[in-house]
Order: sequence, then structure tokens, then C-alpha cells
Amino acid sequence: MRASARVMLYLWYRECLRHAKGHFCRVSVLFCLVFSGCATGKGDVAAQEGVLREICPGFLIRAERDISFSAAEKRLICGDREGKGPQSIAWREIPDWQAKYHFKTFLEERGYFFPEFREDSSGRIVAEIGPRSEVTAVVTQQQLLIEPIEKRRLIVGSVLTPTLLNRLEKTTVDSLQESGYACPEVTAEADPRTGIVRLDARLGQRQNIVAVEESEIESLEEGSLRRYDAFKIGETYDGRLVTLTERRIMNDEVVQGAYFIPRCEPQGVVLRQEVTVGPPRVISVGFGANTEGIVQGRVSWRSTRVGQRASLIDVTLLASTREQSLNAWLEWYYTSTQRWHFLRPFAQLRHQNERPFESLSVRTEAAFVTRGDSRRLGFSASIGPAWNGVRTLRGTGPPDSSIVSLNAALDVISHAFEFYTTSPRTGFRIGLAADFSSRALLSSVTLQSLALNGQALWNFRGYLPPLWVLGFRWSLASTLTPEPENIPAAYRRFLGGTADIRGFGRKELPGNDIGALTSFYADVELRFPSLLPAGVQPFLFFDVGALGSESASLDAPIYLSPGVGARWESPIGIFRGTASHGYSTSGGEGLVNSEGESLYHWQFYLSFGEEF
Amino acid sequence: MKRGLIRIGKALAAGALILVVSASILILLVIHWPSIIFNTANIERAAEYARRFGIDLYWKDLDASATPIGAYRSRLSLSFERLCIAGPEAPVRGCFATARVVAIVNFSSWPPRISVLGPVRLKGGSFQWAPEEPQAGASGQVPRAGGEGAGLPWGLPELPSWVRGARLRNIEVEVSSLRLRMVHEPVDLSFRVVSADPTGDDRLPWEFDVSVSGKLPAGNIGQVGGRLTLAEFGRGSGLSGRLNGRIERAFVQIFSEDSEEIPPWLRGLELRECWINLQGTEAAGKLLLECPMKLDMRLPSLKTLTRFELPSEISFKLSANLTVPISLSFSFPLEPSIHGTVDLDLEPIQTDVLRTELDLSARIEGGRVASEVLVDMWVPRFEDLKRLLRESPWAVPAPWNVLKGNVRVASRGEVILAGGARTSLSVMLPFRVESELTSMFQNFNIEGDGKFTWSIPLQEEGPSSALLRADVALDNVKLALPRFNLASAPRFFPDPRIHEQAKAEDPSRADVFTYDIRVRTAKGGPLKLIAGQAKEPVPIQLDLRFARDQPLEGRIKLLEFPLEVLKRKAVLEYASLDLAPRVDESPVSGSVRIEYVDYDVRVLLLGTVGEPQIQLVSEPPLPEADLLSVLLYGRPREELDPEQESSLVSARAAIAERAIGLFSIYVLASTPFESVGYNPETGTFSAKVRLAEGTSLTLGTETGEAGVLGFRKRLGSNWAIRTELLSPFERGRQTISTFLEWSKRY
Repeated sequence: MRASARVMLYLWYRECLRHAKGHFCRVSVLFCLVFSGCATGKGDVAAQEGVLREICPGFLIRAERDISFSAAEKRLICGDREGKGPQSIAWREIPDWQAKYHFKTFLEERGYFFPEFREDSSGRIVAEIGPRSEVTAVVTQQQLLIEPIEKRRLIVGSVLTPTLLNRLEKTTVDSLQESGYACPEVTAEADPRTGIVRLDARLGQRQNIVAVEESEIESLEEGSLRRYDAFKIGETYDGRLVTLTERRIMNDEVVQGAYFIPRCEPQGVVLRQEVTVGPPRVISVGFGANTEGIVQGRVSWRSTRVGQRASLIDVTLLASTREQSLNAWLEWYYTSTQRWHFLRPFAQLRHQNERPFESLSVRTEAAFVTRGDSRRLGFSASIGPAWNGVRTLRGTGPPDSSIVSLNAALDVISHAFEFYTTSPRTGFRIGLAADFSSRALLSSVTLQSLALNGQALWNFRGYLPPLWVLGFRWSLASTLTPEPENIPAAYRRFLGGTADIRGFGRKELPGNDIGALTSFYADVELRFPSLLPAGVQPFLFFDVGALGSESASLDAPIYLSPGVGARWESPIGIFRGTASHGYSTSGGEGLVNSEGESLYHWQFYLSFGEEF
Repeated sequence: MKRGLIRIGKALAAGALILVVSASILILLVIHWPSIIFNTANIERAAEYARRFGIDLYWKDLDASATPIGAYRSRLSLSFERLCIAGPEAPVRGCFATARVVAIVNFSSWPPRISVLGPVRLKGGSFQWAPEEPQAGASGQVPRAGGEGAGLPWGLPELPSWVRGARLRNIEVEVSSLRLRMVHEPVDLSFRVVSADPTGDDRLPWEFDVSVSGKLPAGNIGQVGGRLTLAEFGRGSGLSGRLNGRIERAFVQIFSEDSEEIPPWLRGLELRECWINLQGTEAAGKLLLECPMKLDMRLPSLKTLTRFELPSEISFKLSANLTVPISLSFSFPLEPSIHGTVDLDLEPIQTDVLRTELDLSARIEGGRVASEVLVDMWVPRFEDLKRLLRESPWAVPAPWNVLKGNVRVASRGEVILAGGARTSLSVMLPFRVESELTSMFQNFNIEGDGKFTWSIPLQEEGPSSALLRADVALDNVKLALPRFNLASAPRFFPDPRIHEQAKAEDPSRADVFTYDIRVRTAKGGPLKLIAGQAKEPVPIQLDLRFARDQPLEGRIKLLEFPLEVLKRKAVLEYASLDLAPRVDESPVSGSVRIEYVDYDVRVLLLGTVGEPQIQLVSEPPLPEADLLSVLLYGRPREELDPEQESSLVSARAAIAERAIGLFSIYVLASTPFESVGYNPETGTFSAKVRLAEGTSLTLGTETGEAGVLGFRKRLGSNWAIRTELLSPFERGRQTISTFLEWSKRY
């Protein structure tokens, strides 16, 4: 870390101590040190200009930063002095000019194009590697301005290397394929002196998808996988939708592998679907973790090709310290002509041990589900009867409840949201769920539950990769009932936790065990995906929520929760950490739980496997 | 009347008699007292008369005497003190300190003739010779060295009849200073001419012993001497003789305008019995030259070639048989009237490292010089050359620098210097290259023929153009590649996509070098490459054509050789690449046979370099997926674990989508791998390969966004990250959940 940065951090820490609790400031400093990479002292190394390093005896380089060479590269610079075979003998001595040639070639991969060589007093070659070439501009032909080059971040200003050109070519191909050019050929050239990169392309024609050629899948009807299609035959080719289709197939694990090969024909794009079928049954064990549930375990068994239409059976055991459930369901594709319709019988045994209540429930459901896709979004709608038997072991509500209901749900997800599921940046989704039950129809309580939730993400100016990602999520839910005292605890609404208001503990609000009949929250989060190295993405957020003890009404206070956090796309999954403080419009004094403990506190969350 | 006529006749007869008598008396007087004519006053009058023709002769003191030495002969003696010549028409300007000329005049014929000339003693001469200032040409060019206007006065004037046939005795002309303003810098010479044998035949041809020394801007002419023969003055006049001497660095000035360019190692040019013959005719002269010379180089030791003992001298013989205009001038381009031959025979240069022979024969005709050049260079011990060049910028690169043997380059071609409106120098050198090099594991025996042509415009500021054509046959070549792991192969060539933009220059003025080189394996044997990945050298037949501004053309074919594919013994039956204008579109084909206990599997390579296509066939036939499973893992699909099954899927996808490059195919085939991945979104193929115990490397994976976008991202054997958006048992869930998951299909 540079000295000036250390001073700035120290001054900030002192200022922080005046306004906040010490542990917050200490955590923040620790956060900065860990995630900024300064703790490694890389900055100190970079500050040392022109350090002389030895590649091998007789060949030195002077560089600001350490440049490592592979063993094979060193052999081509210094000679193969260790091996004993014919190759080593032939390449034992490398003349100076040849060593310099190899060295220059290797440096080019690292962005150095103008090394200079001299000989020191001992006769050793000293290579001054010179400045790194950076991309100063990308010029291209007009047709490629489908996605403006200005939006390709981390190109201009980046070190010019062959790898960078490869990336630029690939991202350009991707964006062209999203626009209907299925088979473009893109080439990039660069001038290391000026840093100008020139992109040229043979676009071909913008084409529609005219057909999908399927390879035969043993024991399945032809077209069984068409229910996953995000694209439509007859519409303009979009490589992203084709990829989305592949992912949907893979995610359901109907087959071991599936992919499409676009073929550009004069009449349009023909997609050839190649499938590796694989065994039909999958057993899996997975886990995630957060500080709410500590560890979330999941064991599932799935039979992915039941019948000729590849119906699914899934049995999943899900467990955390807060909740355990055993779920079983069938996706039954009952017709060959309407592949996007299916029946879904579902059964669940569930135990919840939350702070305000503990319950055991059995739920069965039979839903008719239909799915579909438009050019920009996909939807899923379901409707069907359900029975839910709830035994409340602790908390408000009757000890046993039997609720027969008609459930309906609608989920709309934009393709962009779905495409970037694991690295959210753009798109939206909206979910609507409704349960209708009545004492007149075998239920122990009359209630109608309505929930509308959604999420929207906005990639500021559409940069690639994103610069800022602004996210919103909201939920409005209410239980309408004439007899609120008979509502089981599991049907009551609580707020607090990583899923809604992060400045409070899980289901900590409204601060009692009774809960509420109506809940609302709206979260806004501003993430900076490219601010820090190593994939660490800091973010700021502000969560707002409110609860209502009556149906379809919200009461004071309004809960507020500003905070900061960081997200890390590690090689093994997503880690998120947040620190926020809960406030309420009624002030901190009234913010206590049923035990009289204050809810006015800092709340920290750390999770593995959760997203905003 | 008659009497009157008789009187007149008598008077005339008497007058004639008187005239004859008077003339006879006068002649007798002149014969016996020649000083009455050859006296100082008359000679001064003669000098006064010469001024009318632009020649100013004057002297400080003159002593003239004339003495009769026979009935019809007189001996004339003129002694001048400081005899000078000047004037606009004077060929030279300057003075002799003393001049004494003795001549015997014969009055027996009319007009009287000089029968004997000499002794002539002209001493202390100091002259300047300045031709007319050269006029700048129409193009404004400054004439080159030896250029127009710098003609040498070798065309001798026609002698008057009264001096022709005179005998020559005891001539001695000493010019201590002759300043020639030939080019830009004056040339100072001194010479002495002495008649060769005063006791011999003193009629023409006259022989002189001549010695010349001088100081030139770029060097000295030191003691060039010899015997010259002056055959005859005037019509049919000529000059011949033998010269011996040494010119120190002066010769360079002939070829170099700028004396600063003269390399210091050029020390001198020595003439040995240089025979020169100039014969004049009415319109032209004849130059015959037979001139052995020795070039004294005294080269300094080269810093970069410390072990190389440079030859200190090069001996050669210059022969010429030229017809030249009577007023010879070294104008450029050459006057069309010059024709003849010039030969240059270079004595072989023998050093420890290099043996060279050079022979040049030029024919000059119509202003055109056509030279035939013979060059033969032989490196008898390549290892000596390698050692010599080791520390230099031209060091022999690996893996050739371990070879021993010999290399020969021979050329027999022509250099044409064309005159006329478009003066140019054209070099056309057919050549032949041969090498016989070998080491413990390598061979490099090649034979090549080619032609190098080079055209340089000399007067116009146009571009030069050079063309190298060659046909190189690889007769017996076996070379070792460097050691590297295919999975982490270093980059051997710069990325052609990254280069500095060429500065905009007028293409019509840019020098052009083009080449057209064919490299092929001889019918006898293929090129063999020793590579670590193959147990035996890889035999390659190739026929390639490299040409400037042309895509690489030709064919590369790998012949049958054993190899290991995926840890199994296999045979590469063949593999060929026919290069197309776009390398990516070049068709490839190949076949690898892998023998199993129950199957005979063939991996067929088809398609193009950019989109290679792999086909698997077997005997007995198996489905493709099963074949690939057997090929990759050695067992049927039913026995694969999920990760292997996944790799199989990826491999099939990459193969089907032609995403595996040729190099990756070879890497896969030759390297133990752990898994194969394919990202259909980016078309990126990747393979995780084992480098060494405990270390692995992922090939082909592009860093970036695409790798983390999948719903299900594989991490390794049976492990993946699963992301779920919708779940039937978590209705209304807002957050997206991911799980680190272990799974197994069965």
C-alpha cells in the first residue's frame, strides 16, 4: 500500500471513530485491507521502479513489476542446460540475438512491445522492457456498432496483449450473434505504438432461425426438449437465447449434455441439436451457507426421463438450522402437442424453527403449469388445488390447522435476467402468488394470501463488463382473513434478514411473535463490479420496509436499513457479506422485541450461495 | 616590238637569276649562320604570334643559338629560364624553372624538318591543368566522380609534319608540381619522364621511363613508375608501357564522391607489371590493359568477430580491351562509343573459415557494361564459422549451431550497367547453395538453386527493386524442436495482429524486395523433427512456396510414424495440409489408427484448419459416442463417472462444432487430461491437463465473463455450482440461491 493511501485510511479511521462504533470502523479498515489487495504489499513492489532481476545467468531484465517466465520460455532465452536428450543438446546454446527474439515475443504476450537491450560491464544482456502498450482507441467499421465500442469497458486503457484481442474478438462475435448474425468472422489488429485497435468483420447476413435438427434420443419422443426453447423458429437468430435454451436443458438435467450448432444456410440459420443422453437418474448433495441458517444442506434424487416425453420426478431434502423440508414432485408432460403444459403433483413435509415460531407442516398440491417465452421474456403460470396441514409447535396461532386452497402463481422473467442469473446485472422478474381458502371448502380458516414481488437490475449505460449495477427488489404481500387469530404462525408475515431488510436479524420484525398480515419492503442496491480487483464487488444498499397488523394495510413505523457490503465471485461460488444498521421512523427507543431487547443495532451477514 | 619583247625577257631572266642567287645566298647564309633566323628576337616574335591563338608563351630569359653542323644541318639550342605557358587556349598553365631544348634541323628538304630532338631538359615544372568547369546537367545533377568534364588528355595532338620522324635523344622532363582540377578537389602530382635508352634507336616509337607520384585528397599515389612507349604522334599515335607502383587509397576517390566514406581499412592498391597500351585512331583510341594488382586492406580486427583473421591483401588481375573515344573521359553514363571487355580475376581468398573465388568479366558496348560474375564461397568447417560468429549479431541460431560440416554458395551471373536515358545497374546472380551439416542427432543437408536480381536506377531517384527466387530441396534434414510441454507451449512467433502501422510513403519511391522461395523435401527422404511428444522423429514431406505479399502455398504431409494417443500405442497413418490462400480455409486430412483388443479405431481428420472435423470410425462399427468414450477413457460409456461423462459431452460438442483447433487436438491426443470442457456460448474449448504430479493447467479457457454465467458450473470431478431461479417448494422466494453440489448420474 502506498504511504499516501495509508495516511488517508488512518484519517478516515479516526473520523469514523467519532461517528460510529469502533468495531464498525475496524471492520471497515479490515475490509479495505483485505479486499483492496494492498495488504499484499503489491503497491510497494510497483513503487520500486526499474528493479533489476535475473532471468538466468547472463540475462537480466529491468522492470517495474516482476515478470515471470515459464520453464519452457526460460529454456528458449537462456538455453536448455538441464536436459540430456537430443532436444536439450540442440537447444543448449541460444545466441544473443535469438534469445532477444524469443524474449521480445514472450514480452508481447505481456504487453511490452518496445524492449531495449544493452550489455553491462560483465557482458550480461540487460533488457529494459520499456513501457507497456495500452489500448487507446478501438476503431471499427460501421456495421459493428451494434453495441457501441465505448461500452466495452476494460478494453481502452487495458494492456494490449494477444489475449485482449482474443477477448475483443469474442465479445464482438457474441454481440453480433445476439443481433442475428449467426456466423460472423471478426478480426482485430492493433498498433502497439499508438494503441489503436482496429476491428474488422465479415458479418454475413442477419438471419432467422429456420429449423432445429434434432439427433434422436433413445426412448424419448422427437421434440421432447423443445419445451426449453427460449428462441422461436422463424424469429431472428439470437445466440444468447440459444445458450439460454442449452442451460435450461442442462439445469433440469434431462440429458447429460446438450448444445446447438448454428449453421448458416442461404434460407436462414439451422440449429443442430446435439445431445449426450447419459443415465436418467441423478443423485446430488449440495450445500450453501449463511449466518442466518449457518449451513444449508440439500440432498436430492431426480429421475429426469420418465416416459417418452421426459417427465421429471424429484425428491429433495433441504435442511438448515432454521428449516428442514422433504419435497417430492412430478413434472408430468402429458401431451405431445402442447409440450409447454404439464401437471405438477407436489408433496412437502416441512419443519420451520424460526425465532417467532416453530411449526411442522404437510403440504400437497396438484398444479397445472404452463410455460412460455416471448422474444424478451419467459413466463410460468400455475394453478391448482392444495392442502396444507400445519401444526404450530411454538408461536401464535392455533395448534393445528388444515387449509385447503386454490393456489395460483405467475412468474415473469426477462431473458436477460435469466441469462445473467449467476452474475446478475440486468433484466427483471415479477412474481405473483395467490392462495384462496375458505372454511366453506374444508379449511379450518378462511384466508386469501396475495403476494406480488419483483426484482429489476439496471446495468448503468450498458457497460460490458458492468461499471455500476443498480438493483431494486420489492415485495407486497398480504393475508386477507376475517379471523386473524386463526392464522397459523407460518402464514404470518415477518421481516428482517438477507432476503428483505438487512439491517435486522432474520424475521426480527415486527419485534413480536404475532407477526403481521401485511408486509412490504423495497430494497435498492448499488453495486460496483469493477471497483476492486480479484472479483470483489463492493455495494451500497438501502432497504425500506413496513408491516401491517391488519389485512391490506401497513402500520408505522417504517423500517430503514442503510448499509454496505461486498460480493465475491469466487471460483467455487458467490460469497456475500453485508453490514447495515436498522432504523425505524419511530426512533430507536421503540424498536425492541418481545423480550425488551433493542433491535437498534448493527447487523452483519455473511453468506455463500445467495444473491441479491 | 620584237626587240622590246626580247628586252623584257632578258630583264626577267636577270631578275630571276638575281633572285635565285639571292635565295641561294640567303640559304647558304641561314645554313651557315642559322642564328640570323633562330635568334631571340624571332623567337619572341613567334611567341607574339602564338598569342593570336590564345596561347601565351613567355620566359624570363632566353638564350638561343644556332650552329651549322653540316652542309644542310644546323643544331639549334634554346635555353630558357622560367619558361611559362598561359592563355585561354593553353592545355596547361605553368612554368618550367629551366628549359633547354636542342634540335637538329635538316634543310635538305622543304620545309626543313627536325631530324633529331634532344637533349631536352625541362626541369622544375610547375603546372595547373583545369578543364572547363563541368556544367550542371539538365536535371541539375552534380556529375559523379570521374564524371563528365573530367576527361583525361590522353588523346595526343597531331604533330606537325616538320617534326614527324624526328629522332629522340636524351629527354628528361621533370614536373615537380602538376595540379589537376579533375573533380571537386584538386589532385597534385609530380612526374618525371626520361627517355628510356638514349643510345638505342632514337626514332619513333619513343620509349620513356616515367615515374609519377602525387597527393590526392583521399590518399597518395606513391611511386608509380614504368616504361611508356609513344608509338607515333598524330594519326595512329599510341602510348603503351608497363607500370609498377603503388596507389595509396587514392583509387577509392574514383568511386566515392565523399572522401569521408573511404573506409580506413582500404590502404592501397599495388600495381605489378601493369601493362597498358593506348592506341589512337582517327576517331577513337584503343585501350589494352593487363594489370595485376594487389589490394592492401590491412583490415582491423572486428570486435564482433574476434576469432576471424581477415586477409590483409587481395590479389586480382584487371584486364581490359577497350575501344574508347580519342578524348577519353570517365563520363557517366559511359559514352556509347566505348566498347570492349574488362576482366577481373580475383585470386582465391583462403582463410580458416571461408574460401572465396571471384571472377568478373565485363563487356562494354553502346554505353552498356555487361559483367559476368563468378563467385564461389565455401565454408569447409561450419563449426568454425559458428565459432567465429558466436559473439556476433549473425550468430548461427539453435538448433543449427551444433551442426558440423560444410556449406557452399556458388554464383555465376551478370551485372549490367545500362546507360542511356534510363541508367541503371542490374544484378542478376543465379546461385547454388549446398550444405552437408550433421551432429549427433541432427542433419541438415540441403541443395538449393536460385537467382537474385537487383535493379538500381542510378540517375533517377526511383526505387530499387530486388527479387530473390530460390528452390531449396531438403535432402536429409533432421532437426530437434525445443523442449516444451504442449499444454504450456511458449509462443514462437509474434502475434501478426499486433504490428506498427507502416508509415505512409510514396509506393512508387519505396525500394521493393520481393522473394519467391520454394522449400521442399527431396524425394529421397522426408524432413524429420525430433519432438518430445513423439517417440520417433516425425517424418514430414513438404513443398512450400513463400512469396512476398502472397499467402503461403503448398502442402505439408506427415508420413506414417508411431505415436502415443491418449496413453495408447497408435500409428499416424498420414496427415496432410494443403495450404489455401486463407490458412483457416486450408483443407486438412489425416488418419490415426489405434488398435484395441476388440476394435480397430481410426480417428479421421477432415475439414479445414479453421474448422477441423474429427470423425471416428471403427471396425467393427460402434456408435460415435461409444467410440469417443473408448477413445478418451478406454472403456464404454456405461462405465464412466459423471465427470467423465460430462467431459465426453464437451468433447463431442467441441468436435461437432469444430471448436477444437488442430493444436488442441494434438495436445489432447498426447497429453494426459483430467477433463474436457466446452462453452458453447463462446465456442471455447478447454481441457484440463496434468502437467506434473499434483499440478494441472486448463487449456483454452478464456478468462472473462462467460465462464461464470452458466446455471451449472462444473468445478471438477462430480462437483458443480448449481443456481436456481424458481423452485416449486420455495414459492415467493426472492433471492437467487446457489449450491455447491456433488452429483452422480446413474
